[in-house]
Amino acid sequence: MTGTTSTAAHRNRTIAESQAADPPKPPELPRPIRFYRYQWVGLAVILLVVGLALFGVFGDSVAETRVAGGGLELRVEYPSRFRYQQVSPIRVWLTNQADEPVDTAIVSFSRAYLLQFSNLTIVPSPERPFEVEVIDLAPGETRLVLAEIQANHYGKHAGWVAATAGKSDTVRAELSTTVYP
Amino acid sequence: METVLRVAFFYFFILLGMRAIGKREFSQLSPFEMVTLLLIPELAQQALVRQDFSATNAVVALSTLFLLVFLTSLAAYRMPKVGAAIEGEPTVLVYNGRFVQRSLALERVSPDEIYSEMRKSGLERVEQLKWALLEADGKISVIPLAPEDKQIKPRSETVG
Repeated sequence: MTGTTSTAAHRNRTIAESQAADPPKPPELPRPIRFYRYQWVGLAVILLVVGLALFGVFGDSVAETRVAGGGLELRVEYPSRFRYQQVSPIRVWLTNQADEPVDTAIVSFSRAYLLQFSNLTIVPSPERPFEVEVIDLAPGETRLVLAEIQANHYGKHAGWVAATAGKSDTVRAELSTTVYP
Repeated sequence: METVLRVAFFYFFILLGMRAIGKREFSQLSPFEMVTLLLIPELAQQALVRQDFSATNAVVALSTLFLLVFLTSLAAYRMPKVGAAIEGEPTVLVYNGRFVQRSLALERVSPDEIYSEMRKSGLERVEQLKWALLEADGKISVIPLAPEDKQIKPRSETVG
């Protein structure tokens, strides 16, 4: 086949897009919106979940509590809500509010509370299980004790962080953490 | 909240990408196309869930996805123009026994594929076709010439 006849045959087998008619269109009918009853229920649930998520209900949340007594002030920042397997810090600031220096203060964590979590690390290193010694705390001075926890059990876990110095009263901050599955 | 926004962003991004790569990718998949479609969720997954493998995150992400799919289908149903933009429209590949070359090129459909679909419908020549259409789902529909259409004789008898 020569080039000329090949081009002619090609032209005979093809047409331009503008020459091709579209197939018949479906008729335009009213398009009312109807749902089955179970779809209403499902939609309501989905909307609720997404709405709550947008308002941060299922997200991480940090709470802060502050207690004072016996010349010590304890400020604790802890996760009030977080999700399974997530890691979150508990920050404890201990302030000496007295006019005298504190030789040794002990910051202790509720054992039952911390045992609900895994991969626990506490800085500075605890002298005894769940107890950190804070030495030579000058008047007005603040020290930070940091505990990092990983959520390992679902549900609501309550506990406390306490601080005591010598014979003074113990100050205790209550904690409550909800772990989402 | 971040999960909802991430899922919404990636849903529309992937939807746009899917529309851009064309209809053919949704029908029979070649190995290349299969790899492409398998890689998309692999790449998106990390960005969607990050390091959060909790059931809560999965429920929020899935709920967001279900809601977006539902709203998209609702919009496509109520507004035909939106439906056409999201789902696409059929493309005419053959009309009155002749190939529409521009459509074949745009949709990357070869005459072999049209012949394959014709044979499944018991047709052997392109001249027997009134229409061959690439549907929005990537499948090729063939509509044979009706007896009254056959009076309109195509200009060529050449076997395509």
